[in-house]
Amino acid sequence: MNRALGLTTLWIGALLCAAPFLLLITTSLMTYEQAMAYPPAFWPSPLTLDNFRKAMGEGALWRWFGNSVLVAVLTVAGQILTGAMAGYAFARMSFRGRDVLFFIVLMTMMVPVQVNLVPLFALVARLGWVDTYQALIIPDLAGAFGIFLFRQWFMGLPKELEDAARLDGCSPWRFFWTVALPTATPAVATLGIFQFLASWNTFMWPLVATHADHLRTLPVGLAAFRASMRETTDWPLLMAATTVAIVPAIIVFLFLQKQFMKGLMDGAVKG
Amino acid sequence: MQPVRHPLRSERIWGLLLASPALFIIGVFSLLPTLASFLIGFTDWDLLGAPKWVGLDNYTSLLADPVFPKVVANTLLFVVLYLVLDLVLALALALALNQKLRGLGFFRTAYFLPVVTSMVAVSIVWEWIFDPRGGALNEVLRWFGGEPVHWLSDPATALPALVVMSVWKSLGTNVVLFLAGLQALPGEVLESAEVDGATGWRRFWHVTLPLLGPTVLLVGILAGIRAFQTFDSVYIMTHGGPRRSTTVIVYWLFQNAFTYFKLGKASALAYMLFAVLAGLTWVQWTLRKRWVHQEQDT
Amino acid sequence: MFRTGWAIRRVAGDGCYHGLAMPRPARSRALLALTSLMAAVLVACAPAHSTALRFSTWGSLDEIATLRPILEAFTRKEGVPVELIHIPDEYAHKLRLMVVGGTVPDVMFMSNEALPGFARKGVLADLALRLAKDGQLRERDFFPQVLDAMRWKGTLHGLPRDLSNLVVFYNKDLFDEAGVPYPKPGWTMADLQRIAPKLTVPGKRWAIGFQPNPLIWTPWVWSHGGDIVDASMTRCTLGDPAAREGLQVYLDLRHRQHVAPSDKDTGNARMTQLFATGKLAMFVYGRWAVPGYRRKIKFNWDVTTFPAGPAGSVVDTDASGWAMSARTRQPEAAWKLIRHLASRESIEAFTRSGLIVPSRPDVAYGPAFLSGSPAGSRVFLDVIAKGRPTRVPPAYDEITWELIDGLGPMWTGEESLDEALPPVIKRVDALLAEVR
Repeated sequence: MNRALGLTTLWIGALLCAAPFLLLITTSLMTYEQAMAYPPAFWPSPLTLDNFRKAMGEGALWRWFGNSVLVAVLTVAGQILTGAMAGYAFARMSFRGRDVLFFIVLMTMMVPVQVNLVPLFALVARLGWVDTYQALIIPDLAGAFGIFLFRQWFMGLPKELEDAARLDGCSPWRFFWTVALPTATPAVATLGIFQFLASWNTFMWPLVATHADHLRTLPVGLAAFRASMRETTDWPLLMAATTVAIVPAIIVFLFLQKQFMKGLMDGAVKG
Repeated sequence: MQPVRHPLRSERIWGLLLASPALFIIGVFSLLPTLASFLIGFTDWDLLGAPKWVGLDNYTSLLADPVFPKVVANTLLFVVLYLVLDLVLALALALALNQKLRGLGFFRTAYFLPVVTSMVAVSIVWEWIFDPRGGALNEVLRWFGGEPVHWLSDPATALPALVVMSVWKSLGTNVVLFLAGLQALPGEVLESAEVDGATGWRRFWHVTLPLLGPTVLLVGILAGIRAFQTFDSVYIMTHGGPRRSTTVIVYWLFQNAFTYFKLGKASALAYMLFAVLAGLTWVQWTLRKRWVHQEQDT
Repeated sequence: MFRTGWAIRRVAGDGCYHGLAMPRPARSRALLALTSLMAAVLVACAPAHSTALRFSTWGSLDEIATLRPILEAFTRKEGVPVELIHIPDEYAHKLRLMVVGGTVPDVMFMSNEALPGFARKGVLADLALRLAKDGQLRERDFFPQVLDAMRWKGTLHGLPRDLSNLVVFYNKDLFDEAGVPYPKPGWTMADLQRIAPKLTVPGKRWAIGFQPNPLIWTPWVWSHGGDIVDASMTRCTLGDPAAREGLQVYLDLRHRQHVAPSDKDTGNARMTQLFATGKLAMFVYGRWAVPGYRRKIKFNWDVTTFPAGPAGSVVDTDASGWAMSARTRQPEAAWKLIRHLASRESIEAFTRSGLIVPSRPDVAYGPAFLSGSPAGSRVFLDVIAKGRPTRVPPAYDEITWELIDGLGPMWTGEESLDEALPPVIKRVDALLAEVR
């Protein structure tokens, strides 16, 4: 491709990708009157932080933020732990039904979440977990993707390592915990960021599983906040709340970009 | 990969033990619901009473429901529009990225920001962009002397508007995947093509694209699977309207389940979707296996 | 896939106990510690079985701002904390999921459209006896029609906060400009058809708003003696001559007389905005528009009755109010909260915001409701006597969707009444037959 044309394409692409974010931030810094003026202003003047102040107070935004963090951190920890253990077992150990079980696990990866939605709600209701953190966390403590990822990793572990450990009488559990797992940092990071973003952004399940204000995660809270101004929308206020919801995901992504891209390709192209 | 030298007897137990937490969670909260969903599809159930076995009624009444063809048409239109736009744009950007330039990381990151942002947040921002009065899109139109368009409240434009937003949201993923595909292409072939005088479009059309074909297909299928599952944006932005023009299959499924409380019908619908997506996944896996092996053979 | 890029130091001797492993278990342990810490936080955050009453409601942020001080006053007075569950969207559906999950709030705000669905499943407590025995609150504190709307099969399931009905908002300035006398209560559809052309300036200003929403077009059908479903709720009656005529009269305003704006005319502006900006002489709408209009409207405006058709001027008398869970563990406290919410002071506070037509005559006929614009607020009260609640068959939600979608092309003029109606009727009949 022609170099100049290529660069132009890239810049236009980058601009289009960034434009909505710019709009989000400029609008969040405007007063209501300014945003509603016609024709609309592009640059906030006067610049105001009132929307952020109001958003934090009005919509219980901090609470939702905390819920999202709690759910994300716990499910990340859970997925890493259960995924590493199971991935290791599937990769390095032989036990009855191993291959069948792994095949079943892989199959669950194929099932769209919508298929499970109704029975999962019924199950969680039966357990008395509607409107609890358990409903948001426990079903997500393990996943096929994590197992798959760790299995790939542990399959590459040199066998001599294991043998040496075994000769020394090191139990499989010890070996997994003290030798195998610490080598798997890249897989941990990849799964970590995938699960963090998935958890941070997921909407349909928490929408169905929780109803009380204080249990909402950010996406559900944001949707409710938006709905509570259906008649006249205070766009600057809404944009301020949205900014708060977006920023953590972007920060985490910026820190763990490489692992994310790698995981993306392993999940999609190879595997 | 199995240990040859004196396998510990305890390994059998250890293996199961290590796998059991994950297996338990997946079994109870994933596998069990998948099986239950299949059964619920043969019942009439409103969540509050006891389910009543009705055989294939849900499936037959779905096929007879006048809304069903409309929902299928909406979904297919969404998927096709989305795929065309997404693949073309992602390929163009990936080609542009596939040269030795500084700042590659910057561009890749820029394209990726929408991907990591929640669909709910994105939907709210785009609702503002699509706002007919004062929204950014109509402002741009106005500069060029265009009439304001009522993007989300006109049955003709609502679905395409959602497609545009979804493409924006997920473009980065496919740029990265295409770029990886491009970088994996055998350099000699491209160089020899250059020697033969194939440049620009000709080279892309006759050399690069055929070589990239498998990647395009695989990436396309994955993107298609995602597009089939569109829900969040519809829930936030249009609630399936105006006049059901944006009622795609998952939104209708959700409506049947949690608005009309027809759980049987919703489950039947879910399994229809499952069948389609499972088919696509199977195709993807098969192709991937074949191509990966071919690559390794040559 | 991850085969490259990692280096393992040789495991020497008892490596898995010391050496290599030394710093690593620390990290693993940190992970474990983090997990257990989080679990502890989780447990701490889980709502304990507290004594707080759980109370659910919908509403805009302004409405919640009115509600909060009322709840705080209750807590001060009775010493019972209230946990407010604000569900602004899909309220009734989410409430139903809470029923399934066994987390029904002790007190729920509820519309008469949603009430039968919950009453039928035994979710709601019978409040008749409590009201009869109550020392402070009596049945005659409420408009009888409004209290009736909170009954299901004769059992009282809620105390009403407000009633909602439709009136005609009109722009006095536009009437003056056109030299047309204001529409007086009791005016008719013939009057409307006569004055409408005089109030219309093609392309700029229209005599009356047009909303393809069943809520708004139902009075046209009713006032001609028709209905959407019959009294036994087994048959869609939109095809009957009276209903058809009502629909046709409404359609003609837009497509024959051109005195109501088309979709192209309105663009995306909500009809309520068109009225607020002086582009509509008249507009059929409810009380909930008043707070916004008080703030925004710069011209003189007032309200009058819906124009009478052959069957009179018939609009809905729908209501919403507070219901109690049949399974609440604190029925006494829950009743106290409902009684507090339905008290004269609370209803007055809700009324002062301008948002509601109060359920209590003592508030309705007082300054809280009657003072301030519109001057003719009494119209909201005068139409109660002839109003009627909306019929709510079990598949109400789906039927409403069907009406909006199926009749859509008719309102835009893409289809005629004869083309649009039969498939809709067939579909609604099918939904009515699906009784569980």
